[in-house]
Amino acid sequence: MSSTIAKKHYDVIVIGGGATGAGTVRDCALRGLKTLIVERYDFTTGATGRNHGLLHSGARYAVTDSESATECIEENMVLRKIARHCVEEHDGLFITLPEDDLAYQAKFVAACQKAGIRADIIDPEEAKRLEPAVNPTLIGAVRVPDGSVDPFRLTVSNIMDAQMHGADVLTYHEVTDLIIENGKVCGVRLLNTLNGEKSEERAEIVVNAAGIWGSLIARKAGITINMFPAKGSLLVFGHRVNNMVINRCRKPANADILVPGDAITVIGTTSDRVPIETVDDMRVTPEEVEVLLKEGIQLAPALATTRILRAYAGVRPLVASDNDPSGRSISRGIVCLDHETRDGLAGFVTITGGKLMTYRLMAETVTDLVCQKLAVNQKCQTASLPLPGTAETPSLSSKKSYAFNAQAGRHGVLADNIPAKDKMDNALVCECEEVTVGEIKYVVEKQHVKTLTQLRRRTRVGMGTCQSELCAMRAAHVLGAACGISVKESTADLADFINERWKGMYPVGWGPTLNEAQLMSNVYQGLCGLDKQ
Amino acid sequence: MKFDNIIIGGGLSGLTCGIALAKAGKQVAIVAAGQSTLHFSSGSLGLLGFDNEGHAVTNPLEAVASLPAGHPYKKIGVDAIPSLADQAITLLKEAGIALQGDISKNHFRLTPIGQLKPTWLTLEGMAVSDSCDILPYANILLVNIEGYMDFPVHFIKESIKSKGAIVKEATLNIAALSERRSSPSEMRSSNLAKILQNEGLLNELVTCLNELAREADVIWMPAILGLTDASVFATLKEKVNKPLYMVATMPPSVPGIRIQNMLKARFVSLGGTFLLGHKVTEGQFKGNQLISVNSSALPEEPLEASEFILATGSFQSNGLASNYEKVYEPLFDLDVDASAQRTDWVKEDVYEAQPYMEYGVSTTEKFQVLKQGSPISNLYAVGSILSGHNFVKLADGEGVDIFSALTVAQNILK
Amino acid sequence: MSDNLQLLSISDHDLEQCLKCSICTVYCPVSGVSTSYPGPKHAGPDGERYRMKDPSFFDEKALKMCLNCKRCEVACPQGVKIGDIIQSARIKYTKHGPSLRDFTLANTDLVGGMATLAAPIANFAVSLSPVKAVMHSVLGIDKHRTFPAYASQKFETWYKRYAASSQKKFAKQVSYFHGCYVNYNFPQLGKDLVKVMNAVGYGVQLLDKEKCCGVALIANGMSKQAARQGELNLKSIGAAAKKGMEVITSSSTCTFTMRDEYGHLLNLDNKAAQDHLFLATRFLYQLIEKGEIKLAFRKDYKKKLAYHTACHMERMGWGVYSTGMLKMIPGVELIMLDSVCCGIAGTYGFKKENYEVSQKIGAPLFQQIESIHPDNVVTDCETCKWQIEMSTSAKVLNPVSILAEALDVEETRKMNGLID
Repeated sequence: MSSTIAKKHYDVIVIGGGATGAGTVRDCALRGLKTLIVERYDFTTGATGRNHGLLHSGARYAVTDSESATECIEENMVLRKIARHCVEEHDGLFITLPEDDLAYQAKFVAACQKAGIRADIIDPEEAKRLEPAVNPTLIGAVRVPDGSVDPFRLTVSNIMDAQMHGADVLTYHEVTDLIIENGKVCGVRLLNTLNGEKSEERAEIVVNAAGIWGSLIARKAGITINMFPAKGSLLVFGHRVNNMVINRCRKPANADILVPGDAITVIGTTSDRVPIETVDDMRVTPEEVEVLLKEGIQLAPALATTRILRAYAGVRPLVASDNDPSGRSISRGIVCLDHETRDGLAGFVTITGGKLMTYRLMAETVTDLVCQKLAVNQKCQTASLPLPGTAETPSLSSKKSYAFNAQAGRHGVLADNIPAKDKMDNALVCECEEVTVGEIKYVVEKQHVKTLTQLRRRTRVGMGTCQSELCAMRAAHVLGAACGISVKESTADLADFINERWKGMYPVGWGPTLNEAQLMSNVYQGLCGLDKQ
Repeated sequence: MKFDNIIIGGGLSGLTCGIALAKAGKQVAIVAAGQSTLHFSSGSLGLLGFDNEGHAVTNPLEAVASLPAGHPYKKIGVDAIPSLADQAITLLKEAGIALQGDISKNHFRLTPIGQLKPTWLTLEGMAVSDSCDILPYANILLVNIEGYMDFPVHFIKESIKSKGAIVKEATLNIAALSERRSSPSEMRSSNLAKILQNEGLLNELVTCLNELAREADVIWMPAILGLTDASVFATLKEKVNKPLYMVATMPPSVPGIRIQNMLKARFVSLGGTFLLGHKVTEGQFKGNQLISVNSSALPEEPLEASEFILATGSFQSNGLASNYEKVYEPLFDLDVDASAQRTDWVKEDVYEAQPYMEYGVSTTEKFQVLKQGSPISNLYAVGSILSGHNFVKLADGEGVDIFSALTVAQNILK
Repeated sequence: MSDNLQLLSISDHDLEQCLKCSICTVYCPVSGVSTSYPGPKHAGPDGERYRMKDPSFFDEKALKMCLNCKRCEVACPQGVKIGDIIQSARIKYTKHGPSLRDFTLANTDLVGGMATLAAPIANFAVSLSPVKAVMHSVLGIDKHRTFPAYASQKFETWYKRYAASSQKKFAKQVSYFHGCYVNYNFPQLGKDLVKVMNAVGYGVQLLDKEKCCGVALIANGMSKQAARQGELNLKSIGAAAKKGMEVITSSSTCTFTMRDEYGHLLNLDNKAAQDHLFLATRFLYQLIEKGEIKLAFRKDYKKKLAYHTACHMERMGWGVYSTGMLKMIPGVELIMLDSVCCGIAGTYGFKKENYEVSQKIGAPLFQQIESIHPDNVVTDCETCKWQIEMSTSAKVLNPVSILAEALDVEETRKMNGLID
């Protein structure tokens, strides 16, 4: 995203291009505030892009954290309305296995009901009929309104809507410092992470929505936020093993959620506290892979023999409450810090904690605070106003292009805007995920795409079975032409992209995935002569 | 069914071995589970493009001497390579495959992204250069077919420019070819090549090229001509006013498929039996000998032979397999040279030399395979299934395929 | 905890072995000539991942263009059952019944039975232009097609009248699955088979009951009916095997359907039957190899033959038996045609919408045949025979018929100890 925005004085600058930042900039824009969002890389590069993509019903937290559970189910119902094109409403099961305590089921159902979550005990046989992949030895099952949500789509939809309502966007701009004048934060100093240019932007209030990196932002103002970075690793399987979410009906533990999304299935997560200094360089360890597999097959035995496409890890921004610096009572709840009252620093607020599921509520909470500070009297509308791509009545065109189904899955009703009249626009770049030339042109124009990795997040290019073996070259060529970037940059981008794909493959490098990796190296390094740039 | 020799695997190494044996009068069967990695070929055959440090090799004959001890060339014998190379060229020529190149000096092939990579032999008609810095032409017309996406012209154009040549880009709009783009997925090199078998169309192509190439010294086009032989390209070249060369595309590789088809045709014409789609499922061993194998298609029909050759390739061809616990040879559970630790197989940076690339079956100095530590005296391994070399890093894949195949054939015929 | 953690990668039809290498696309006869078929890779493994997510991704019109020739499977180095993925998807997701045209084409024995009763009329009728025009426009059967002629006497009728009694005298016996084509259209092939088998000392029995193998039913979306017929055939094969008789056939397609598709596509348990079901050439080849029988050929027999490997023959990998038998005939010069699809694919080429594609697919083969100009083209598949005879000047015979015409019966009988 270019930095050639005419200098403005903003009402609000939001730091962080994850779901929370995107939700906040949308909420601010809808309430008429002049808002800028800054992100050091691309959208969704932090925890937003590195989780299950689970549309939590809240059931998971019902017993241990009823407040979070209630927030989840409320937001779950909201997302089904406002982000229909980002969610799949397939429900979930909480299963009890022979080694689990069946008595927990009653406690669980009662807690769900208390939190307002529909939770129906069903017969294990019925569970097997509904979800044939479930561990057949189960002795109990509860059906809850879990689903899946695509966090990439969700975030970009928020950004698009914010822009439609006047917000500005600066990706690849890292906050190097907060501008503090007279005891008040009045802007940010920025570094363009692509070309090294420095700049600054000013606003009445700066919202720190940088997830786990938020503590580092706060540190720049001499403020301490007691964060507990918790790493979670996940595995992606090659096709849909299950069509309903499968959870274990017990106290939350490692690798006990199996989520179907798009054409794949994800198992996760592990949970390990990691030092804040390491959060930019997460990798999945062999021990984590082992845990994920061994626990995963308890949910669905087929995972023992299903091809694994890749592994990835994210970091949850857990926050210890201010009166408990030890971190013993870490909550998944929303933390909204007014640094004026907390630390005596005006013009600066932090929104953190929470979960992908509650991003909108987090945004609403912090925007309420911002409005209060700016004395703006506007109500939040984000709980009812659909995101772009979700329409009340889908207007899917009757004359569908070849890849329309897949595109509608990614862009909702906006898929109608994807160029598809010309046969070249309908040509498939990525065959696994049905990404066309037209779709690439569309996201380049509308969704801030200049690199293959950005393209992947918007379109799923290279996320299928072959992990880009067939499509990376085509995508680099089409993208280069669409963005007008030099071949030198395109080549470097292609080399990086292949390495980025490998980074997810090598922790699970055996079986067909290793075979695929060799073919990919044969094609790109052998045949083409591509090397590290 | 009885044969003198049975070769498992129908790619470059299997076919080379099969032709050498059949030519010497042996009754040979090639049993192939499917098509081979020649479908991803560049149209060139590498002997040694880079040394172990990654430096481009000028004289491959000299450079092989400094390869580490485990490299298959060391088992073949560095001294034997010149004469094997002569045999290889003869064998390929007799199959009708015309090649350019010199064993004492690598030339450079043009890759699908326009880079120049050192290699030993290249199919006649493919674009090459003697130098990695300069192209042999000053003014190049680079053409592509409208809608064809597996030929990234911008990359090639930039590379040409960086070598100091002038390049003009042109897109051919020939209805019968461009019409392929109505298919979102199937505008592939091989389908274009099928269409271009039509002579009328070829004439249309000639007219277009002659019109476009008035100012150019040479025309470069994607390698989409000639799946079965070189005749289509020859016809075109003859009719076009300017020199015409082809540049490798992304897979499927038409030049590679052509090599495959011509070698196969030669093998069959020598009386060889080529069983395609036959996956070998098991073998019957007696003492230190393999007696017979069974294929998926002929489960109760033992295929017997005096000697067997394993030419099943590396991981991408299923010659080697791996799972959560080990790397293994999937047909006969032969001994492999591979780490038992999964974490040793791979490195985090894809551009580093990946250890798994060098894995393969363990063999004696004569390429007899080992099973539970003992050699199987009549089962030989050839080609990419051999351990000790990284074909991606060294650009030596085809050399290892061909020379190991010829060496084993010689040993059998002795 | 499980000991089998990630030791194998298992998926339906080996879907996940697919490396997306695109080799299969090179060998697809349909996508080579038509842009409306998305090719084996995209119709198969690529599309299947999305169909698993949401059946609305099933594109009936596109998948219907698959010939089910299985050449993609033969080419695939990873063993992905690409053709099975496509055909299974058609069976699983097609919700409506077949059209009248498809029903007519698919029910080979029902329609064949009626036609044989009135063979002269039927043959005359289907050769008349107005009738062809009606079939073309109303039924959607292409007007260019020559219908295979119906014989005036069914093979079964001939067998019962003229052959049955003489078969009993042989010490060794086989059962014969003749299929619809031999029964209704070309009884001569059945007679040839009886002649050859008798010469080497085998009596030929019919199965207790046989129905069409169902290949056309599967292709036309009538898999339930195909499964019913399949069960009956498997039962008959089992009964013959129990009596100690192997079951031989003279059609590669019927054999392939019963041996492979019954299990892969119809989920019938055909494992036991597989061991007892042989193409006649394979049965004979193996007996000769074991030294149990011998063949003698006429000294004056001389022919230039061009062998066409039918798609299902290629998939089974049995071409080596038929060509092996032909190579045994001293007077035969055998030329192997390139192993490519002829374009007919059973009932596929009969459909109006497929006619052009069908002929385009076969064109290179037809050209090759004309340039070789053989005395006969030889193939194990009856629908290939129709297509090649319609599209070239060649007369096409089954290898069994070639054996029958080249055989020196007296000498063969002698060598097999049938005449003192």
